[in-house]
Amino acid sequence: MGLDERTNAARLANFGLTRRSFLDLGARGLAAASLAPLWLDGAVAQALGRSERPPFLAVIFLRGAADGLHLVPPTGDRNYARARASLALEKSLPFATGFGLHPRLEALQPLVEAGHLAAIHACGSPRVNRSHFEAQDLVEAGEGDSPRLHSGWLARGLRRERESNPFASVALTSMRPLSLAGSGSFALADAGDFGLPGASDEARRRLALDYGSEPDRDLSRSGTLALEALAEFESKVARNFREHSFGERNFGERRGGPRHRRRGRRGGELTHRVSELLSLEAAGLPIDTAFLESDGWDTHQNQGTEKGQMANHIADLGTAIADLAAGLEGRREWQVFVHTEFGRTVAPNGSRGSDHGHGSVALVAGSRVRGGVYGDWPGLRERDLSEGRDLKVTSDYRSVAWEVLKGHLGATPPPDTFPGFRPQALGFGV
Amino acid sequence: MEPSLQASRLLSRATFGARPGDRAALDALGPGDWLENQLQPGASDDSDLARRLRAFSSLGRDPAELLVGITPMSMNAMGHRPRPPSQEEKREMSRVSRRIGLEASGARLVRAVHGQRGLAEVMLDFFANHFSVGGRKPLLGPTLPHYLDSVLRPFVLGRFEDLLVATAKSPAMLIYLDNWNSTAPIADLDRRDRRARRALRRGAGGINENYARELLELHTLGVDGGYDQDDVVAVAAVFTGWSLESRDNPTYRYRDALHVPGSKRVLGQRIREAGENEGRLVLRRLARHPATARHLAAKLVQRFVADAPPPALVERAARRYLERDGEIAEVLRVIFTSPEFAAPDNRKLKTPLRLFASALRATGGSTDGGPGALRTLERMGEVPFGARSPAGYPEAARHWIDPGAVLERMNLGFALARDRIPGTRLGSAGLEAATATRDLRRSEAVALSIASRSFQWA
Repeated sequence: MGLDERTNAARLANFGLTRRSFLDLGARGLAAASLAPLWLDGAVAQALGRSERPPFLAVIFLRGAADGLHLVPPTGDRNYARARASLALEKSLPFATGFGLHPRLEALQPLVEAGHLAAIHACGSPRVNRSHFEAQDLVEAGEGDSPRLHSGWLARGLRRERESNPFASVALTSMRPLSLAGSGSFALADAGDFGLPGASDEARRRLALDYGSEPDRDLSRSGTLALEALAEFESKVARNFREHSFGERNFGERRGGPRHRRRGRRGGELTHRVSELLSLEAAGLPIDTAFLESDGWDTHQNQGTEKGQMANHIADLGTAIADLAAGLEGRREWQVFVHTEFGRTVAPNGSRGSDHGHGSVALVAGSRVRGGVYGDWPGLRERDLSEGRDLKVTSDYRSVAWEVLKGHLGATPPPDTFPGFRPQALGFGV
Repeated sequence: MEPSLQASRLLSRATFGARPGDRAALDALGPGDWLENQLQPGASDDSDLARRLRAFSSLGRDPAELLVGITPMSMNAMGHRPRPPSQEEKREMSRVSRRIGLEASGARLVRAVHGQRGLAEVMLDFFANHFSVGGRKPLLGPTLPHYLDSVLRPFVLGRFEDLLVATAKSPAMLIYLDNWNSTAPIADLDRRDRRARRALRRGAGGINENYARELLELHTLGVDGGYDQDDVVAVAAVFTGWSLESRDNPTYRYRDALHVPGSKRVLGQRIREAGENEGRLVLRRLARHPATARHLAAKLVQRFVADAPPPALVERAARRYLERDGEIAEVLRVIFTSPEFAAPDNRKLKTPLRLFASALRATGGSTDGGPGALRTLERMGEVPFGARSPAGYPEAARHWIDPGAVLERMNLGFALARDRIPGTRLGSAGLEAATATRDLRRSEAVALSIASRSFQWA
């Protein structure tokens, strides 16, 4: 499928949403429409003019340690086949000198041809930590040492953006991830669940009155922003999503993935989240940054090569990025940043999988990204490997994130985004 | 000081919230005697809590006991692993470990909601957060029931030094901050020693500064407490050898073969070579250090009085700490009887756990501390033993107030009032005022009183 066809598919997907009437707002929506929300005053209202919006940014976290040597195989390294043994890919898609793309990333080929896909190889956190959870926390906190700040790098990096727009950054997850902790962002994994179930219009009115009064300014302001955001969300989006919901769940309970995998849908969970995200954006929610995640990259057993469990995740990632590109291309500048907590061992283990390693790969795609492979390639000979087994880390993920943020903000990110860290310029950002 | 404000704040801050009848009981005793009872809670009956906690089968059992049967890694008699665990076995182990950890989390929640000894439960929460362990560290779960009941709980109103020693030796802390694997540099280890060889085999090797750094920065002196990196390294050397029997038998064991020999220099003072006793000595010095007194006093004042701790009260509390050799109850008495405690401007926001517990307590409700309740707290960002930093959860309101968080607070009110949290039920007491409202369903009126602005403050 070419880029045009995909654009069409995304348009059709959006149409499924937009053809349902947004004008049928109901009393609550009309009440909201009559009063401009707090966050629509002044500078923000200006910023909402399409042309002045920042490039759309999607940050995708691959949880479970994604195999960078599978995503972007170093086909030009003469030790590749020997070092990876049964995990070496026999086929790959053309990408850059010395590097291919996993064959199931075929959805990304238009981006490669347009020169808008960058891979930063041998990328990761300089600190070796083979626990998924601890490593994820460190990466998401954006601190070199044990986390202290109770906040995430993305939240700190986007501080200015969200000052008065509660939808400036959102998480397409069931709970707000550490990356966005301290941001005040909403988690919108199930858009149909975002709200105040059980609250009548009268109850909402009373809450608005209660939180609309002094004296505790921060609490009052946050409560007011939350209620206004909710009204805005409902007027633009919620009705349409509610039609798909499967009845209310208990508080705090996640809605499982499989329900979303309706028959005939292309791609997996991540692709589905991207289509939700695009619907929210297209419906007019002023989203500038979205955090998404994908599970299941911890392939200790039967990892597979061109086919198999990891290949399926890779295909999902590919269609997710391609759909996002197609959905935004021509309307808005955009950027996607894909990263993981660490890589996998170079050599296969005894159960046709790979174990926890160190260096992996980060991907950056975007309408203004200069494509290609970045970073120093450390090599795959045994003496090139970290602890004799893992791809070394030669590019700090924070340098990648810094350059991504810089492109998003159009300015140098706040210095405390990565406390005490000096980012290296990689050059994929224009 | 405003006496009625002192009384209501004693109930809302020195406990997880007033229950029906609590205010009358406090007024009958007077705040002074009420406080003394809370500071010496040993005698009060808490059989209702004990009955509720029986649902958690792992409570009261040692980490080693809890690991029996779930770990295929048990060494055989020769001290060798029969074989490495399979992926399947590893998954099973982390599943069981997680289940046990959730029991410890649930037990803390049940204690907060149902505990009769209000202040002791609040202090248990305070110190579980001060000496934070947990988060998502793999295989820590089986150490948490012991950490809760045997390491922290006996000392929360006692001497700080006892807490310091108990946590330093606890399997939970030794694993959480990696000290059990901290050894003298590999080159210096005596390879003829069987234990040193075994430590090397399981991947230990060299000094791990993790515990030493957190001990100085978080547990005792505080970040501005006047120590430097050399002190961190020296303290790490002091604690080499504070280890465990084995990974499968997480029981404290001092291993001299792994200890860095020779004297060390900590905070300008020489520590003579004395094996395990070096650590005891360092903990004692740290417990008695004025910076520790200030750090702990400031944290307690922040917890009970104001996010920006009034310096004069911190000073008085720290002085009492030093005068009374770290008696925590003495410091608390200074704080709770201070004019600052009852000053109207010194407001405290309830964290999610406190909000959840206070709503249940206010109505005489109940929780089983099960998955429904824990998921709710997770969604709100404060599960017991769930902090993702050794610094624990933050205390100041600014970390807990933002539009997303406030929306969750409102949702908590509606979820509780509509009985949507499995295993957790609001009671019907104390809600007469809410139910009297016209043109609102009763459940909505209840929800609104929990979601209201004023209910967010303690």
